[in-house]
Amino acid sequence: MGRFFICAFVLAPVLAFPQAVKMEALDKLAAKASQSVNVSLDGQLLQLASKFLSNSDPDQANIRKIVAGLRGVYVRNFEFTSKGEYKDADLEPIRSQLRDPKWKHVVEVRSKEENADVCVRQDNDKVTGLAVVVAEPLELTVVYIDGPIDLDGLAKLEGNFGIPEDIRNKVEKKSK
Amino acid sequence: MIDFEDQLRRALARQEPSAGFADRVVARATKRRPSPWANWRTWAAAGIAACLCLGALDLEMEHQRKIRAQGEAARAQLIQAMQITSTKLHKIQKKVRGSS
Repeated sequence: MGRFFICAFVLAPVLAFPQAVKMEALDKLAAKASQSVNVSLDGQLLQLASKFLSNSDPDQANIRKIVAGLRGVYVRNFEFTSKGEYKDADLEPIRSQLRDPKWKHVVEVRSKEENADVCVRQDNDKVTGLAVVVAEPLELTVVYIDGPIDLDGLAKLEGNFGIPEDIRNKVEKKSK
Repeated sequence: MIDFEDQLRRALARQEPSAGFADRVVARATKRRPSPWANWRTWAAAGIAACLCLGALDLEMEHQRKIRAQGEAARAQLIQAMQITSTKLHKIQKKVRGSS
């Protein structure tokens, strides 16, 4: 009985929050890239960042609302000078995590040179995660947003921030 | 009983002070006490206290500066992350529209 409570105590935080997508496997590509972006903002940093967002800029004010419920935003973006600097196998650690039944593919683009995937994680019909993987010949991008995502809020963002309507519609259809 | 009263009377009988008592009292009353600030120890203690206060203030300001720098960096990262996400999603949207 005691062991049960100890296990429950240890596993409770793991079960309460869905498994996060681990992106560390991609970090080795930074050495090969001509330019790389590595953004890792956990819940605490997101809250800190949101305090510094401008109130006068409507986009930034909207971002603050969206970020309020998030547990993390993680982005890896690598730009290469020549083709073949990364292999499809480099993406396998990410793709294998997205094959979990909780993740659903909403968009899958396959072409000769470019592959793109948009996946959403759902818990009780609520979108609790968004992952975007874009593999281009000279650029590789992986985005993982952890937490309940307000798609309407994201769509309201103007300029360069908003989620395109088409993709939002696909996510909404999948979550219904 | 009479013996007890005699003892009490003797014990409470007026006694003259020793010679020079009044002069000693007046001399002590008029003597100036040295100011606590004349003592170097007081100055040293005040100096240490001031240094500690300034040190604590500087530490707090440094902490605030660090938090501000961290916040500004996190804000820039967040905006960059949103820009990259949006750019890629728009690109995917174009592909999807193009193929349909």
